Amino acid sequence: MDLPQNAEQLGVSAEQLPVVGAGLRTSVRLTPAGRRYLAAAAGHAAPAQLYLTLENVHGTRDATVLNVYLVFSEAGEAGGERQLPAGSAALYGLRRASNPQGSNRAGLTLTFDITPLLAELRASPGLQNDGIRVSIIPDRPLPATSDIVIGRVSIFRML
Amino acid sequence: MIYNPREYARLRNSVLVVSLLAWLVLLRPAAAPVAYGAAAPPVMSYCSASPAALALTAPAASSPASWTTQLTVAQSLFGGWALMLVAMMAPLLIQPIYHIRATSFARRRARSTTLFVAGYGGGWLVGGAFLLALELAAGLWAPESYLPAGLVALVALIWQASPAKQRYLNRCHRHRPLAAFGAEADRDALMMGVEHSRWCVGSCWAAMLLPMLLPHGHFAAMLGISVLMVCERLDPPRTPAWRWRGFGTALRYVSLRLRGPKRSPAPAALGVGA
Repeated sequence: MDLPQNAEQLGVSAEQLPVVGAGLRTSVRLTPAGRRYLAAAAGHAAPAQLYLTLENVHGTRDATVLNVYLVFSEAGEAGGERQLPAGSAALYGLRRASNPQGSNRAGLTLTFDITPLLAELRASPGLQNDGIRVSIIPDRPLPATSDIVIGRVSIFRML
Repeated sequence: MIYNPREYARLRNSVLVVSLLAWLVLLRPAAAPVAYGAAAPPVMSYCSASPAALALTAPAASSPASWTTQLTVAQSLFGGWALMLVAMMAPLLIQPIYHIRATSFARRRARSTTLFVAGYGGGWLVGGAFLLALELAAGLWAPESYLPAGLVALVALIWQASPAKQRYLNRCHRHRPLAAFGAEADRDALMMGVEHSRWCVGSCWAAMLLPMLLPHGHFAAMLGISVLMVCERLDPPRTPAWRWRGFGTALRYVSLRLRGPKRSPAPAALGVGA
């Protein structure tokens, strides 16, 4: 099996993200190299794999399922938007992974393959200015006291 | 963060080579000037602040060259301690450095790694000052005696089995999320190094002090302690409790490589018509 040579980060969200209520929306700020890569990627014969990761997810609500979407602006006058699913993940083991004195790993890291959405990303008009918008929605609304926090959201490519 | 076995192997090999080079300098007196510069003492005593070693190089306070000589003695101690840190601690930094490299932009990797190592080294140099002071005090109290080393060995043994040690080890496995942009990214990398050194000093202080107090067998003890520290980092984080720890995962790994996986007994045939 051919293992990837390297993983390169293309963009990262700016701050920690608490997950409460119906969810949250954030923007993954891209580096100039990341923007150039995404703009050129579809021209490549064999585009690299692209991943979105939720890093250092910690909290105590193991029974939560997070649905992750990429948000794209619609072209045209209407200015609407649409969400395309990147994936879903259950936070099984969250409490144990967040315990500072037990088997801690500074929380969970969840990875989603977003390579199939590469063409949509290229066509997104807001990509050059706003970065990539990501929506994270729990399967059931969480109370305001929810302690689930996502350390950061990042986008990688495998070389 | 995405785990990449090839990148991890590359980093691991580089760090181990750096550690090996430091060990070679430590073990080979001919290479002393590399570590000590002009301050190389005639009798090599790396990371040693024993009164005998200091008396060998320190002239009378009234000598005009007193300040210069004291500076070279300090440089000698600092250089020796730093060299010992590189040799013993570099293998423990593979995981955190990989975390930094995997969660940083490519153009920031070298900078963030440097800041992390600077924070880590700075923390250990502060810890080392306390350990050198203890060594000096022990040397004044019982010069060329195994008594201080024996007492510290006892303390190290108790510390090794204590819940407090497990707390520090657990913290060593925990890596903070790092900011990606600007000065915050630099600050996070530096702070991660300082935090890591704090947990590392807390976990290893007794084991590190032991070889420093031995009148003989200094290097052999250092090597043994290094192996112990590497092996105990292989153990996963656990709930703090009194237990022997250190070689569990390493021995299981060696056993697995030598004997292969244990075969589970064949399931008993289901009785028919019983």
